[in-house]
Amino acid sequence: MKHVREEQLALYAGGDLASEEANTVATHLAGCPACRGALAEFRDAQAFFCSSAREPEAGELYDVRQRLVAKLERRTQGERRWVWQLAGAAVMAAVIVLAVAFEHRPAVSSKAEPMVARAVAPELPVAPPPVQQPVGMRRVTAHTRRSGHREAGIRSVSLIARADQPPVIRMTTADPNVVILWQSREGQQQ
Amino acid sequence: MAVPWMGQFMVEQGLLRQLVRNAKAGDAASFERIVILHERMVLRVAQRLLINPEDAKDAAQEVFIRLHRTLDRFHDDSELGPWLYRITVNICRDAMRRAKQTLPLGAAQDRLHAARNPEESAAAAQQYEMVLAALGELTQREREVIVLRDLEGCATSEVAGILGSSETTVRSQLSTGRVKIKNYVAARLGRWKHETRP
Repeated sequence: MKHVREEQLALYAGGDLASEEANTVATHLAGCPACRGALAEFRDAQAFFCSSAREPEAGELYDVRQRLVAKLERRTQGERRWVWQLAGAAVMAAVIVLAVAFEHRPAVSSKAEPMVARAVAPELPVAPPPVQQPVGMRRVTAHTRRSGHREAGIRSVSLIARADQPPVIRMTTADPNVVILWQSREGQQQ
Repeated sequence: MAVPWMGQFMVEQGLLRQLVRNAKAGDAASFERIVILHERMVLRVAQRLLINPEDAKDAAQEVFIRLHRTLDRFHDDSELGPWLYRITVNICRDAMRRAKQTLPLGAAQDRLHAARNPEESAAAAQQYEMVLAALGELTQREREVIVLRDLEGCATSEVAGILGSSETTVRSQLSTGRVKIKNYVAARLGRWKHETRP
């Protein structure tokens, strides 16, 4: 008679065989004392093994909880530190960007404002420059640089004078989109 | 439905899901309750997989750290128990891998002595030592299967799901593991009974 394999008995003892296979083993066991003895050994060992495995003690659980709390706190502190470090880096970066931008800002100073205001206000008593026939643009530009208009945001000033038209003062500014044309006949700015 | 894998605790699945939802929303008290409800199970499994009690404590706290970190990924309709078993098994695997690299030969005996609790009776301590020693005879995979199936009482299909293997593989590891344990316990038990006989 062929006995049940030990591995099969091991599974049968724990109820882990498929029903068909379990029925075959059960039929064999009914007529085989040797296999029944082997099965009893398995069941005894398993019962002893499972009943001897103790639960964790309260002190051990307390230890785990203490370690967990400590580690979570460290982690939270680490996250907080990381956030502060990031915020600090962002502030530093912003300061550097502002400093660089301030250093390279367009040349518009407080002195420039009265000049712009004068140009806008029609009643400003700015005498037109003496008319010259013709006046070179280069020469006038050199003159304005010397007189400090550049600091005021005016990049160049040129006088456009034609025989059949009134003279026009053309001023370019630091902003390429802003060009001031001043027609002296009407005292108006366009 | 009650959750069976928490030893003496039986918790309604609905309550657990609510705790998980609250913890995901940042409620520390709910997370603490989840820890309290599962710490016994996690530490128990870690002790049986790792044998060394200090390694097991480290692993158990690491399980909850990982749970805290990855709770966002946990689906509300899943069950927390199998997920925690999976995390525990994975962390214990990592710990065993590290221990293999660092532990000197012969350290297993020290681990067993360290597992003895001073509050236990000598006989109970000896029996528990035998359980751990028997588990120490198994391969890592066999030990995982035996711990989950025989000591934790998970179904074979659940064990397969937790370990990410097939039921056939689990049955195969289960049978070889049980044979090894039977042989170990039978040999030791006979000697132990003989030694303690009056």
